[in-house]
Amino acid sequence: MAMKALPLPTSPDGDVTDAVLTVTDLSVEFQTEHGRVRVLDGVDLQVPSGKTLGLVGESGSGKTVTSLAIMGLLDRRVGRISSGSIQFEGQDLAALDARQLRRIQGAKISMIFQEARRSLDPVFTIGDQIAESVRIHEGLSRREAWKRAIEMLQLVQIPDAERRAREYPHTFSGGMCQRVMLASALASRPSLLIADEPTTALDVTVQAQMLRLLRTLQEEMGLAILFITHDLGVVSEMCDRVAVMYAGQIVEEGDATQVFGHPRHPYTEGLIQSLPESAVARGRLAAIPGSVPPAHAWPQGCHFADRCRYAVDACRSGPIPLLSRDGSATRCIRADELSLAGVR
Amino acid sequence: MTETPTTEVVTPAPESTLAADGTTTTRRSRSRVMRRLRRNRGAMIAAGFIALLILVAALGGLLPLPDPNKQDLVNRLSGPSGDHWLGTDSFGRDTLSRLVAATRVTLLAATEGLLVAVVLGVPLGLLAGYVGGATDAILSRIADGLLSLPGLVLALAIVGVAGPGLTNAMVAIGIVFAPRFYRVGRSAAQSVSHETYIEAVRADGVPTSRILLRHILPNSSGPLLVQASFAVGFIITAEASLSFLGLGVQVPDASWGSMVREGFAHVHESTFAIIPPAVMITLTVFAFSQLGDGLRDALGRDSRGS
Repeated sequence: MAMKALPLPTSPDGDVTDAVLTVTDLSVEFQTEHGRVRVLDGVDLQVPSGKTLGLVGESGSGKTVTSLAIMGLLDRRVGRISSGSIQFEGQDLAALDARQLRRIQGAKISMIFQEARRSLDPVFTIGDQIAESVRIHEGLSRREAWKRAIEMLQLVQIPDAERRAREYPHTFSGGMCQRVMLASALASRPSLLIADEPTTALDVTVQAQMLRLLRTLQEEMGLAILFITHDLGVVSEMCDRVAVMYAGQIVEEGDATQVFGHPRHPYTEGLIQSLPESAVARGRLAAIPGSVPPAHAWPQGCHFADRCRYAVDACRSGPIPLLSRDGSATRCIRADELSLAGVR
Repeated sequence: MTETPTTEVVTPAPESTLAADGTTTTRRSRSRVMRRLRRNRGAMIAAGFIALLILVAALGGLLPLPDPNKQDLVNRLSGPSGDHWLGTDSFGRDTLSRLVAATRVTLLAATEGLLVAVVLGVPLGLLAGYVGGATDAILSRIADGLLSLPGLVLALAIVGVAGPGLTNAMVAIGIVFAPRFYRVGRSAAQSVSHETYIEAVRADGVPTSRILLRHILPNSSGPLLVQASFAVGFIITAEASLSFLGLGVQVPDASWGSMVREGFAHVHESTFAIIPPAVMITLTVFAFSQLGDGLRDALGRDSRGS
């Protein structure tokens, strides 16, 4: 499981050739009733090629906004990228217009969503939906595209694919819908898959099958995955590296085993301790007090300071940089003096 | 799982248990709508009446009836008789023949008006609802402006500029009705565009025009269909009004509206001639609104698929 430590995005002289996707200092602003509000604050991410980066955090931490920004799917009426770059295969996605993005969306970068059933258009057959994407991106004929759709359904292990391809989404279960989504996402052989909580809505056995399938396909296709979730159990199962997000910032980043075994940010510790599994060992379920503050009320200093039991005055005095060391990074000035509890 | 767990898998892969009930339920939602519609007796009678009208309009020429334009000035304004079941008009023309011929004219005119309204209103409505922003604001103000004018007055103005005639009248009526389709299309597209599957096709790099045509339109078709059914009724009334005023169909052709006009002109000599076309207008408008009601009820929450 332990990977070689990757160069961090925070070191500009670092070697980044190994990463499929490199997000640097990405900030996103939304137009709200509180005026222009920054909802992503200098996010740095690297998805290593053929590997999985887990992006974890509570609701409202900015995980989904990050994925939408990468995909160029931010609603232009309310949100815009105010700074930063999104390097993907030699192009800065943040600088592309809608037409150029469309050549990448679904072709080179694909996305699957939490609610697979609702991600499928109810008026089209499964086969048509998968075929649509390859027809657009690869210019395949109707017949070739249909053939590809069937192949993809077989690839995601849907039994009796030829017959099922002619059916409508409502005849599929949640787990099967997610497989269909995966088939559709991978049909154009993308190099990066963004999976936004793909297993959250599934029950546990189906979820395990889905994750296994995802890993198998990842190995077969050399796929890089940005796996967005709030489920730490899934992260430890799926991910090689993990980035923890809180209130629009990456607060900790590193090798998955390292981050969970020896967290270096109090928020990561809090997340680990609020796992029911850790309560079994401890006898009592710990929760992080309070909730993620809304974006317009983020403090000047450490965004987590108000909920952090280790916070000192210095935490609130000004912006905290993401400090990297030995292939991992933390946005906590007390990281070295604290000894935080990880997963046992 | 919050969805209906009809085929949820609990057993480990391969999830073959699913295959069993898959085929029978294909297109379930569509057949459910049809089933609900069939249970609605009023809507079914209305649909039958409309089907009959269409049949008469298509095949009326084959019926063993006198020439609708053949005058018989000796027998003018006669009441119903064995020779003329619905009597004759002020030129002695057979009212039943003219009514049959007018059915064709009226239905074609209604189709024309509906087509103009749909072609103008629906694409712009879908676009505005999906894209939003300035496009939506500008188009919606124009639609509101058109809606704020009394429909018949606007149609009169357009016909006044373009000149009388059935086609001009129907284009005018189409323009009057376009904002209604714009509004329905816009609100349907607005709610559909927030569905996850639209986000999913956007993430797939599908161009906007294709999203509108292939994904937004089919998923908005329910409310649009209901609106179309109601609109046909209104359009027939509007056509009758314009023809009554002499701005629609021109002599010697007949529409129900122009027949009412002729009957009205001679109402002091015979009260009967006005009745058959007026009854047809009433029944037809009633049938279309009844069908629209039935469609709306049948589509219900299913109007956007399962």
